[in-house]
Amino acid sequence: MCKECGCGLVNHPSEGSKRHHEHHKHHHDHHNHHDYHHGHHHEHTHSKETLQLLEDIMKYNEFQARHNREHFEEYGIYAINLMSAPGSGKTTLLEKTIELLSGKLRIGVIEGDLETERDAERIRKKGVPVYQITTGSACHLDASLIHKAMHKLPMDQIDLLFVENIGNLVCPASYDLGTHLNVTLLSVPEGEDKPEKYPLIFKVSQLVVITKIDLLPYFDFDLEKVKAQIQKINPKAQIIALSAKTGEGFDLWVKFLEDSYNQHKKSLR
Amino acid sequence: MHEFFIVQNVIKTVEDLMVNHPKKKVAKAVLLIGRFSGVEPELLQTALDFFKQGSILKDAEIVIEIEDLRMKCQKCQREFSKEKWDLTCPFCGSFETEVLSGEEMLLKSLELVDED
Repeated sequence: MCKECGCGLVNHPSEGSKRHHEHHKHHHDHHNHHDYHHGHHHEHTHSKETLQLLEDIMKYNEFQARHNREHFEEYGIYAINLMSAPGSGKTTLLEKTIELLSGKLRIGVIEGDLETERDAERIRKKGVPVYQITTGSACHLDASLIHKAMHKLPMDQIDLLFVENIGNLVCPASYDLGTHLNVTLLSVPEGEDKPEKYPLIFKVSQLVVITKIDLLPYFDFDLEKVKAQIQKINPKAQIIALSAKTGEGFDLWVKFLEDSYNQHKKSLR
Repeated sequence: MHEFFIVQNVIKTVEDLMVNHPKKKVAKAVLLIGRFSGVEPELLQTALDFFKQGSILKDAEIVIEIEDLRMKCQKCQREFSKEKWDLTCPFCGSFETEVLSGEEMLLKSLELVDED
């Protein structure tokens, strides 16, 4: 049973481990491989022995992420992990999204920041449930932090849950939070070289939102070039360009959210 | 910063495994780190050598093996390596490529000896 919440959902470490092993076995046939719980490959030389493992170092986070996903699905929630550099407009995007989806989908927000409740305050003013995680000095959110936060929110009153990750283009890319969708924001003033410089975060994102496009005339930011660059890193990623200032592109973003939510609901039935 | 969290996970992974091997200690731990796993091997090595003090890995030599980015094109079936994360096939230009290695973060093996 889940210690945190007594929710009856169980973590299955061995399952996750096996899944990873199978995936890896496929590509690493040359490695001597044995299953995690059923003895490893042993090479005995007197008192010395070598265990061949191929054990996933990130597995603890993966278990927790899966557990979170089960929670979300239990409540019919579609969860979105918003990632970007500091100042790309995550909170502004959320404020505007809450306004546009008002009366259509019920939104909840988990805010991640090193310090201050400022972003949470901005969201709270919009009248939706929000929980602030302050990490102190940690550079990313992980699945266990999300788990603690989600139990502080009225889960049965939320359709779309946004997680606003720590402003950072590096570390958040390595942590599955259990959300259904990874979105990375890239604002025009950050420059067109960011996907090439920080490929991993774009690699793990199913959607890239290019923000502040009202500033395009003032910056050397070639939208088509950036789209081509993102395609090389992640051919399956969708790209939406918008501006919270002029509202341009928000129709596409809102439609994307509604379609994703409806599809998710259908898949749960 | 992020490397410290990875170190904690490595130590926890080893602790869990060593429950099945009482009276043994770890003499060597080999990690397999993909060039595009999101962790910098050099920083991880430094972090491990520092934070292993007082842990189950205190007497262990830590070796990091780096795995290059290898891919296979689904269209022309050719395999290739890349220095940069770019999923385009260099032979036929297709985006339909599969990553074979280069993203992993694995504890590859442990060498155990009897405790003194």
